[in-house]
Amino acid sequence: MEFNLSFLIETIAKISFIAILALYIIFAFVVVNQTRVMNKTAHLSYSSILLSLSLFHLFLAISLFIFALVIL
Amino acid sequence: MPDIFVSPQKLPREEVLEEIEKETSIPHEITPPLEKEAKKKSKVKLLSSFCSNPRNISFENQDEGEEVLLFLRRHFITNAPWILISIILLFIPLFVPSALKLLNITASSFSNYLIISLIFYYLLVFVYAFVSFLSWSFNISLITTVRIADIDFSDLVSHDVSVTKLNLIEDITYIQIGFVRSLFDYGDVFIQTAGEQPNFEFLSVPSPSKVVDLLENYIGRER
Repeated sequence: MEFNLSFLIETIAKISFIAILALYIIFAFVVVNQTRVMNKTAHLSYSSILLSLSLFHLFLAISLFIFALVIL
Repeated sequence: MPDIFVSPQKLPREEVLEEIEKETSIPHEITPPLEKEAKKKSKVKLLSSFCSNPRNISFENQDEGEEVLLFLRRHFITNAPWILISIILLFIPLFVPSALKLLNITASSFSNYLIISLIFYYLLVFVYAFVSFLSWSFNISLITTVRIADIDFSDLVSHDVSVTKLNLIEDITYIQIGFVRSLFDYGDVFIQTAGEQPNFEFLSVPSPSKVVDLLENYIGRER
């Protein structure tokens, strides 16, 4: 059986990238949750904008994860 | 022949009475300047860090009829470090192609990884700036008609809310040391409370002397 080193490196790189991006999605969820807690603790006029930004960030993180799954 | 003496035209009785009233009347309300300032309703804007009598803010556990008199948070200039860092971080990827050229690495072999890394990098820069802004934005101190509330979100996962009643305040002091602080007029306000109650620190708030004056005024009103 032939041992393909470049294939192994690529697979490890791919798995690492996907794992990091999956962890990042969890972090993005934490950011959304914390923004919600902040808005609940003190409600400012622009709180909804901040919450929308955090949700947009979560959307980008999920999109990047899917994009990475497709192209890597 | 010119008249030597002309008697003043007689004003009607009502007009005369009105004039006397105007001259002798005392203003209905004598309001000190601080009191006047406190009565002005203003809106807490995205970047404002000092707002007297804000009309668009509420907080958790706020009682019915409890009004926010003063809204404070760190002076906007204290955000300068993270803003500068974010701007620098935005331009770093521009040097990647030349760095790859120097190392004799061809990007075509791993272009997909490079694209993902670049997008991920910009997401990280965005989240760094966003979290820094959130920490500044929600680190607020509120003085209401009943109490003082200090809301601290030191980082993304920890927050601390301290509250004390206005009548428990014993001493208020402020410190404003340094060139930058004097230039932008911001400093630290320390509020000492009675007994076991925690002491309050409003750090890097704008116009600390004004904050102390307003606080003294509110305490006076409360007592």
